[in-house]
Amino acid sequence: MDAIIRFKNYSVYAKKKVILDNINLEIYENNVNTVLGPSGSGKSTLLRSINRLIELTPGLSYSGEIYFKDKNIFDYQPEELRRQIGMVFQQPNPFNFSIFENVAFGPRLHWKLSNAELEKIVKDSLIEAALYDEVKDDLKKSALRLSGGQQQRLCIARALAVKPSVLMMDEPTSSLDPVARTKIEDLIVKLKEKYTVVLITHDVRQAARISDFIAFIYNGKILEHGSAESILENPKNRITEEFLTDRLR
Amino acid sequence: MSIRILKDLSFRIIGYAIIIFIMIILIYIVGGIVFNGVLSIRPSMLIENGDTTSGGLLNAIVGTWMLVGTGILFSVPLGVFAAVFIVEYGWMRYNQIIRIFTDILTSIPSIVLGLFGYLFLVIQLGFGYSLLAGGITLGIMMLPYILRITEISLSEVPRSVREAAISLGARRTDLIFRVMLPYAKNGIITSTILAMSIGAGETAQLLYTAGWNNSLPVSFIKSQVAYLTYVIWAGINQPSLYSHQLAFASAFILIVSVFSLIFISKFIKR
Ligand SMILES: Nc1ncnc2c1ncn2[C@@H]1O[C@H](COP(=O)(O)OP(=O)(O)OP(=O)(O)O)[C@@H](O)[C@H]1O
Ligand SMILES: [Mg+2]
Repeated sequence: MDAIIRFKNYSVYAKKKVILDNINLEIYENNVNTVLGPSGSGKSTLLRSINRLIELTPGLSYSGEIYFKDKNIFDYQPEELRRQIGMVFQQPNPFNFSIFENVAFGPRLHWKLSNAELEKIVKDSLIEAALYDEVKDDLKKSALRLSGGQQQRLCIARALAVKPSVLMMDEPTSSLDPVARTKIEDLIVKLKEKYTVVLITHDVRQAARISDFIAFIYNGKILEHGSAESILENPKNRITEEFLTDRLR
Repeated sequence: MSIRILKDLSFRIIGYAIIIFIMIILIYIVGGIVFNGVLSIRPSMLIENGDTTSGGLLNAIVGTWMLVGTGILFSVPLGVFAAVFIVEYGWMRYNQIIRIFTDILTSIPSIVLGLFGYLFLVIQLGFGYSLLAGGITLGIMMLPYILRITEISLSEVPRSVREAAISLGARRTDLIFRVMLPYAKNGIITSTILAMSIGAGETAQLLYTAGWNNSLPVSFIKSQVAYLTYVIWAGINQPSLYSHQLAFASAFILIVSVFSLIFISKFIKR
């Protein structure tokens, strides 16, 4: 199994608090890698470390290394790192622009493109995010007039448009209704053929439905990491087991 | 009736009385200007130049907007630039100092600003009474409005939207030009319109910096400029009826333009 991202003794500290405690974790290529854990356990911080988004939060310090494609993330230009590692957030956060402009935003940052090339990227990305059929006649419409589930798929399309190899999703369905959630879960399973997915959730059932690998994080520590079946059916750690039985009851 | 109900009632009556009183004053002023303006204004005033006692108001109307336009050209880029620095480049720390600075700037009496404009721009820099001297003096007065409203609009851009742009690989300049400024666009336009309507009604600082011209200025410096508030100020002191009519017509034109500007700004969604 190829690891596309590797954490080596990685820790994050706030002033008086250890937020991530000596993380050693591998993210496997073309799989759904789920980070499961209770609220406040450090899941978002873990994700935001990978694309160096935590640099925007003042007052945090880090130690250890993270490698992306066997190169230290700090040896990348942050813009290039973020292009290759896309991110989708808990709350859909489309720009207050048209649907087209939302998806075209990223490609415009990175490449000089003709209109035809740009239109092709926008169309392909919307198709990949399973949104194209619903919006194809309305690409000029404001993105804010889409439903929550559509907005989240637009955010996925926007992330895919810069041709990343990893797509990170921080609880992408927690603000959505069950129908919209199922659509996105189906989409995630399809996306792993082409992309590496890192998924954050505290929904054990969701983790069970779509994960290939699960890392269980608690209080900033990875307590357990392995294939989804092994973690769900045969947890070795008592806290993991309690969390799972508690959430599945 | 209990004391409490009586008290409540008397407060209401006083409240209504004050509101009605203010309304009456407002209607009296605006009504007076509109009434006198409509009676005084002639179509010829809109197409002829004049000298406040004879002729028309074309030079003053155009001059007013040239001065306001120069002020906008000076204050909008500067104000927006400063707001971007405050919000994006961590100058938020100095926000208190900048706020004090802008508060002082808004509270400087316009006659004092005019004096500064005269000493520094007209004399020191040798602009003479001119579009540039008058416009920049107006621009200094407009600056705090542009700065503050733009700054508020910029800081209202949600964090989630900034993070979306950054996670797509936006550099700081991309973030500013492709996200922050487009999001703040309405705030910038609104503040510009506000600044224009305030600028159009200024007199004191222009007395020192713009002078008067019986036709249009021929250059940015050393060529004096006519403006409407001067006609009001000068015309009402003249003995002739026509001077008074020119003054009332000027006031009418100003009020109509300022109201239209405010009206337009209300239609811009924030
Ligand atoms: N900038 C910061 N300064 C101090 N503490 C922080 C900071 N950011 C996060 N934390 C703390 O770190 C811990 C982990 O936060 P994080 O957001 O990563 O958790 P999470 O697992 O994503 O939680 P949730 O499921 O609620 O989203 C929390 O206790 C939080 O209070
Ligand atoms: Mg979180």
